[in-house]
Amino acid sequence: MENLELEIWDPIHNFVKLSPSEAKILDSLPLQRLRDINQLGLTYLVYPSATNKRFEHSIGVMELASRVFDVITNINDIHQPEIIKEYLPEIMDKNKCTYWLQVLRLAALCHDVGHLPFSHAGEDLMPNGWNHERMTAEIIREELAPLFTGFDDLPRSLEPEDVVKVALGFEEYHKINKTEEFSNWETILGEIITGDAFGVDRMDYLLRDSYHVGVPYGKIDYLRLIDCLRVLFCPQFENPSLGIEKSGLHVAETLLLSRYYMFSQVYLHRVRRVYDFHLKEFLKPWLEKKWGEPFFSIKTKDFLRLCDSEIMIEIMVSTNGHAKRIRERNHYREVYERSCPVGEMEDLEPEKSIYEELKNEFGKDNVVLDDYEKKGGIQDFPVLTRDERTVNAGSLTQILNKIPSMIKKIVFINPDYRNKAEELVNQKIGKTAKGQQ
Amino acid sequence: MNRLEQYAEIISLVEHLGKAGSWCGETHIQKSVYFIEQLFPGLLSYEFTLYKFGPFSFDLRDDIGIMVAEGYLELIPVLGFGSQISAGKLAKKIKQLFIEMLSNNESKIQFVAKNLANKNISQLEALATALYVTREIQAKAGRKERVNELRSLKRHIDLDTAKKVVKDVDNILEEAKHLS
Repeated sequence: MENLELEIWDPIHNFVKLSPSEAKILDSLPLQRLRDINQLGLTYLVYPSATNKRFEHSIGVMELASRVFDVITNINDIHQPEIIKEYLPEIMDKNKCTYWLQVLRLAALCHDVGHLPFSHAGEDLMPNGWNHERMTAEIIREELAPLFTGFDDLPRSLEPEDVVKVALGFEEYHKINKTEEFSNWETILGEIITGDAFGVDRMDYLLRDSYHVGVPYGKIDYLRLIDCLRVLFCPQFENPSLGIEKSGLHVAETLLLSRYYMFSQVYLHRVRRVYDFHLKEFLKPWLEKKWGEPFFSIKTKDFLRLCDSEIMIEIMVSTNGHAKRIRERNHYREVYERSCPVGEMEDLEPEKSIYEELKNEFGKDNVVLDDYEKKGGIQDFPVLTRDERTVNAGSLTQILNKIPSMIKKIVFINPDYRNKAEELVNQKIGKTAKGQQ
Repeated sequence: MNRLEQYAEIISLVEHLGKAGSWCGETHIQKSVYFIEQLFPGLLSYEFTLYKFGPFSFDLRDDIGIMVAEGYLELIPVLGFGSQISAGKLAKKIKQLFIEMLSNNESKIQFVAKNLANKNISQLEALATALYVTREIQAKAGRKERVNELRSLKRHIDLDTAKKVVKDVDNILEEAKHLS
C-alpha cells in the first residue's frame, strides 16, 4: 500500500492520514459535494452549531475503520487462530490484508456519497426501490471506479464492486443484488463500517455530532472499544463475527446508551422532525417542476449537482407555504407525543387515533403524524471472557437487554389551530395537553 | 395482514415455543417464522435472505426490536446463551384484539413450534437452510442433490447431519399439508 503522506486535521481524531491515491478520491466531485451536505439536516434550526458536514464524517469513518482493521488482524490478538484461519484465510495473509485494508478504507471514505441534500430528510423522495445506499453504489460504480486504477501498490487491481459491497454491508447490498454471496470476510468488513453494535459509521457520527451540537451524550471511550474488538466465533456456531473482549463490554454498553440518548435528544428532536416534514413538502412540487416528477433524479450526473445550498437558496425565495415556514421559523407544533409503551391505555396506537380525529376536524393539510421506529433489532454479539470462552453478550449484561429500540410518535398541528387541537387531545386521552406518559 | 396482526402472531409463536420447551432466542423466532412463511404462505409476510446463520429477515429483526420497545415482547438474559425472548406486559392486550385470527392459525403456529422448539442453534441453522434449499433453490431436486447443495452453502455441516435435516424437512413439509 502507498505511504500515508497527506495529513488532515480533524477535531475528533486528530491527524487523519491519506495516501496520494486516496487524496485523488477525496478531491473528486462525489466526495467534495459532501462538504455541502449537512450531517444533521436541519437540526441547526434547533442546535445552531449542528453544521458539521458529511465530508469530515466520511474522513473520520475511514480513520476509524482503518484502526479497527489493524486491531482485528493483529496476529497477537487473534483468538483460536487455527479455526479463524480456516474460515477467514484472508486474515493471516499479508497480501490479502493489504488489499482488503485498501478496500475498507475506500469503502469507509465513500460510504455516504449517495446521500441526498439534508441527509435523511429527503430519503422518502427517492423513486421506489431507491435509497441513499443504492445511490452510493451507483456513484462508486460510475463516477469513482475510474479513479481506482491509480492504486498500483496493491497485490492485485482494486475491484470497485468489493468497495461497494463493504461500503453498503450485507443488508443494504442484498436489497439491490439478492443473488450475490458475501464471504465471511466480506461480511465482517461490512460490519466494521455499518454494523449495528460496533460499526464505525455510528461511532464517528455519535462522537462528531455530540461535539458539534454541544451535548455530552455522544462521548464514549471509543479508543478502548476499538482496542477490545476481536473476530470471534459465536457460541454454538462455526461462523466468525465481530465481537469484543469482556474488558471492553462496558464501553459497548455506553455506545448503545449514547446512541439512545443522541436519538432521543438530537436526531429525533420534535422541532427537527417537523422541519423535515416542511422540507419534504417544499421539495415535492419543487422536484416535480425541476424533473417532471416529485422525486430526486437517480441519474448520477444530475444527482451530484444537488446539495444543501441550492435547495436553501430556493427556500429563501420560494412562495411555497412550507418554505415560508422554514425561513420564518413558524413550524407546526406538537400536540401529542409517545415514546414509550402505551401502558394502561386501551388504544394500542393512540397517536393514530388522535391523528385521524384531528385530521377530520382541521383538514389533512394541517395535521402531521410523525411515526418513527428505530431499525436494528436486539443487540447481541460474541464476547471473549477472561477464561477464553465465547458467550453471547446478552447473557453477560443487564444493560443491553434494557436499552429499547427508539420509538417516537408525534402529532403536529398547524399553529393556527393549536389551542383547539390541544383541547381535543386532552379530552381524548384525559391527561395533560401534550399527552405524555 | 396489518402490523398489529403480525405482532399478535409472533407473540403466539413465542408463547408456543416456550410451551414446547424452547428457551426461545431470536434465532428460534427467525427460523420458526421462516418455516411458517414457507409452509403456510400468507400467514405472515417477511422477506428472508440467506445470511450468516441461514435464512434471516432484517424486517423481522427490526420488528422484534420494536415489539420489545412497545412492551409486546420482553428480553431476559440467560447465562451462557444470550437473550431469551418471552411475551411482554402488553402481549395479552394485543392478543385480545385478534382472538379469532389467532385461534384460526393456532394449529399451524403450534405445529412449527413443536418441530423447532427443542433444536439448538446449529440444528436450527441446518434445518432452516435445508428448507431454503428445498424451496428456493432446488424445489424439484432429489434428496442427494439437495444434500450436496446444503453442504456447499454450509461447509461446516457434515454429511450425516445434512442427510438428516433434508429428510426432516421433507417430513415436515408432508405433515404440514394436512394443516394448510
